[in-house]
Amino acid sequence: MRISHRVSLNVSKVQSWLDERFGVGPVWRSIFLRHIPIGLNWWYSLGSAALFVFVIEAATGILLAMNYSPTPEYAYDSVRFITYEQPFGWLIRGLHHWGASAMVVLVLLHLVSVLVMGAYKYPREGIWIVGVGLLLLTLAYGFTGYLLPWDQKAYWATTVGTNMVGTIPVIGGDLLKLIRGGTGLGVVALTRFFAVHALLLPVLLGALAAVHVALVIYHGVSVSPGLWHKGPPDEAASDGSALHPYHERYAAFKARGPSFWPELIAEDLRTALVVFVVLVGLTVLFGVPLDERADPTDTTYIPRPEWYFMALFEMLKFFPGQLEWVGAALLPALLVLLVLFVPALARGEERRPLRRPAGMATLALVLIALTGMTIRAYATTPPSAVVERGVVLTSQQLRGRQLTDQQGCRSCHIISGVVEVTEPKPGEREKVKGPRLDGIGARLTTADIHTFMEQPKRFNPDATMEPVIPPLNHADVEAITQYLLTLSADIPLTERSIR
Amino acid sequence: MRRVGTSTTRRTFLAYVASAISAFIGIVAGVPVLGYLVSPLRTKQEATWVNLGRVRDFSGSIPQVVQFTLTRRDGWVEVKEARSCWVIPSGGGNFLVVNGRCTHLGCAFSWKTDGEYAQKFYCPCHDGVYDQEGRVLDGPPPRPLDRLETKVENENLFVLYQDFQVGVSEKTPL
Repeated sequence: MRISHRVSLNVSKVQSWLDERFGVGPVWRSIFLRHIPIGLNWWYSLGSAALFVFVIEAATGILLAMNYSPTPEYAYDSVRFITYEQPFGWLIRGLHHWGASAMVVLVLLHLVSVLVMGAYKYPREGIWIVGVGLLLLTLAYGFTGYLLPWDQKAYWATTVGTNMVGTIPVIGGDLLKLIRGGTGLGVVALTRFFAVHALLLPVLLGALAAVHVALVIYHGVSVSPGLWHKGPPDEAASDGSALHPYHERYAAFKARGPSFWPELIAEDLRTALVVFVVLVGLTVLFGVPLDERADPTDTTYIPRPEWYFMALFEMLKFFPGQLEWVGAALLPALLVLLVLFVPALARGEERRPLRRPAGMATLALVLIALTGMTIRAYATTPPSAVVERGVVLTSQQLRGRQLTDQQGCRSCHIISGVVEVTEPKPGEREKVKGPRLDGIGARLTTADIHTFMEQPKRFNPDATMEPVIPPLNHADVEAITQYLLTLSADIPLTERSIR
Repeated sequence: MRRVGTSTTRRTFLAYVASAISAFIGIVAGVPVLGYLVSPLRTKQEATWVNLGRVRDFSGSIPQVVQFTLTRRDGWVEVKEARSCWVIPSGGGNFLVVNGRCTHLGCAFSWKTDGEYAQKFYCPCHDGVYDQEGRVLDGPPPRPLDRLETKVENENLFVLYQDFQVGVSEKTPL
């Protein structure tokens, strides 16, 4: 008896010490035990799910940054290292990659849901405006993060994306330089994108999200439109002291409602669990894409942005020549302004969607237009598979083809019929030419081609070729081997001048 | 307590002082920050003469792509950047050389020998199509392909390589 009494005394002592120093009790009671209006369901957890994904992005982002190198020389290799060699790197990067898409989906769903339910109306206009800022920051995250792996997709999508800014009349050229940190996409641009992605945006998004959540706590979660217009279950719960009839009504809804902890948090976490399982599932099932290394001279690459920019990308085809900026900048800006000013444009007190036909029709129109553009963009995208003389190259063979270019194999060998015409520098001996590699599959076994590249002298003591490992690794050698096997001896010869 | 007849109380005076100190720190810190941030506006790309190779190597009748590396100073490093241009025979041993970037949004286009765009330059980004002289035939490009100045010295074809701002109708050097 005495002992348990002492323990309980100590617990309450600790509690009051914490309450007085950290305000734990009051904060807990006012935030976690606050009442939530009746009639909420899981649909209300979209915003918190977006926040959950942001936490995942932040955590995985920090882990990625520990091994990422933001320079054109090493960015691609560091991402490749993270993805294929670092233990669990594929999972961390996969969650980050799919999480980015999930965040866009959740933020958009949250926005549409708030629009449909009229939850942006008095007194929550401030939450809406901050929310639009969060949407823009989410898209900025997607755009800046896209360049970082420095693969083909990253390089070309960012080339197009930043050049779109350059089409804005008068200030476009300067704006383009500010975004890239110079004229081209290179060292400075990559470092700049990394700084914005990993330092500036987290601070901005964190701050805006904090304001957004604080305002939600301040104003309370909105009541569902149907219930709201039917009226509170118990009018007597209000004492008539509120300044605005809204507050009186809202107080009545709240008085009967459950509390934030544990009722609403349990709903939120249930949605978070679903999102988490989906993200892990996507990573396990589809892995995380990494294209070939960025090649600014590749004339065969067909760049396409991430899906959430596809509608914008497609729209550019409709604005020829000088009107480019209308599609690239004006229309998107007008759409953002329209969204931002929704509370000012739709000021009626009616919140039931069916009784707001104009607003709902506008929303439907915008959604149909965006979806239609996105579908059209995908439908008209040529197959990303590169077909070389009727052979569809696998990603491994593509990588091999790129390596043969990068490693300068063509300075000695004829590959894919291409004869490089180079002029020896003064004083340099004409290079000893190696055999033509087209049709090598008929002369050597796959294993021999692979091993030859590793140890040329073992096959031919007079070989002048140096072993390719290092700088390459076995996966690279196998990629080259697989590419060479696609080439047949009857490819016609073409000349290519190289300087 | 507010004194009757004076417009400045101790409190409003202190509010002025606080605002003035904040403004001073803001401006003194803000000018360099702004200058640091907008410094890229002054960057300019220098045009450079590039040797594309012997003139006789371009004797064919179809456009040929020539890839080369340019050494450029990018921020704190000297970088070798891969670039390309297309050499288009224009008859009588003359050449037209155009920058290898599409004037729409800077993608790499290519000369098609077969298919829908046979004997045309085609850019896969937004379906820009140019004829052999670089004139826009279809799609969104706002101006013809960017022609580059050329010269022939010692049987070698040189081009004054330069990138231009894309997506606008004027040919503005970067």
